Amino acid sequence: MTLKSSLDSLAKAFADFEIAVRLDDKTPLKNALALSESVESFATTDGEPNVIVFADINNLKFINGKYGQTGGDAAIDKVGTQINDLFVTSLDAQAFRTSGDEFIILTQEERLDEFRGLAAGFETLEVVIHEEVFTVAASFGIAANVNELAFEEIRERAETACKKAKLKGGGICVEWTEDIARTAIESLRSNCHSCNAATTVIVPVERNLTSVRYCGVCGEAL
Amino acid sequence: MSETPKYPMEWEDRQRRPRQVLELSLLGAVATYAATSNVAASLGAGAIGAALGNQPLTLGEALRRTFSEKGLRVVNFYRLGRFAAKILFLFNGVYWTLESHTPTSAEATLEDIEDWLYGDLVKQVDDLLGQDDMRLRP
Repeated sequence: MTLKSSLDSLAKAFADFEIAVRLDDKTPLKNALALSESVESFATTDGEPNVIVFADINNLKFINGKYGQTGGDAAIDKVGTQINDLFVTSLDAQAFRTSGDEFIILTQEERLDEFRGLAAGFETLEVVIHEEVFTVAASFGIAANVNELAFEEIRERAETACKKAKLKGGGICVEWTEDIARTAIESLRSNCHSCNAATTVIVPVERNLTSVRYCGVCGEAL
Repeated sequence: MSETPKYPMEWEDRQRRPRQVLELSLLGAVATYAATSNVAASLGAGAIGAALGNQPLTLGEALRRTFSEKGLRVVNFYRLGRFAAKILFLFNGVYWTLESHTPTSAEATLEDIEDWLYGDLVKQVDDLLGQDDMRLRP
């Protein structure tokens, strides 16, 4: 073993490490660290992405409940793999799994029509584990870079639009508008400390509530 | 050269996890000499590097690498307590899970357990790939 080959090995190990820390551990996509590094170049020049798409799996809780954690992980991987095949490989987009069942895709405004066409394929995706077959779906919220908004504000708009898309079903894309922001809803969940009932309330996003305030069963303040 | 450790007598033999192949010994010595210009320190660092270089990969990492070499993408690896593990992987568009439990043994070390689980999961996947199953054909 020569000094040069040792140093070459070390350099390769570092290079592999640099790549590995930016890869998602469940899907072929990149992770939140890689997204944080892509924010700087977002919408800076003509060739760079200027649209954020927020994608969310529609029925993951049901899948986790019925098929267990491996079923849920297979569903997440299926959606991630499809995002990679359709949007990253075919559409030159950048895609990241940021947490759980949430994905961020960065693309260009002029490719949105193609994007919507491909997104329809997410209405039902078949997942096969051994002999068992089930389906998973994902919906998409789209927000473009307008008025030089900060990346995080555009991402929030895309997430709000995605909530609307989820109500409409799998494979649906909804683009953020002022109207979407006014009518968007979110569900808040909490367990009552007095009666232990699980309470879920649906509230408009514009109310900006972060938690459930009263138990829906016993009426106690939470 | 250290001797390969033996599993507890009642355990069937299984392939052990690969050991790290990084040339840590020479690298440790070179880096220390560059930093300190001290030959004794660099030899010491080389010895530490050699010891580190002989450590096995973690069970999850070893499985990911070995499965990847067989053309299988590992989606997730689950530890089911100390004596068992499960792996979820994708091949030809179908997801598969394999699970392994070590036989009980009071003498088994943690390294024995991790090595045996690795070898058993690799054996199971080799058996699976050897089956005449249409879904596993490329």
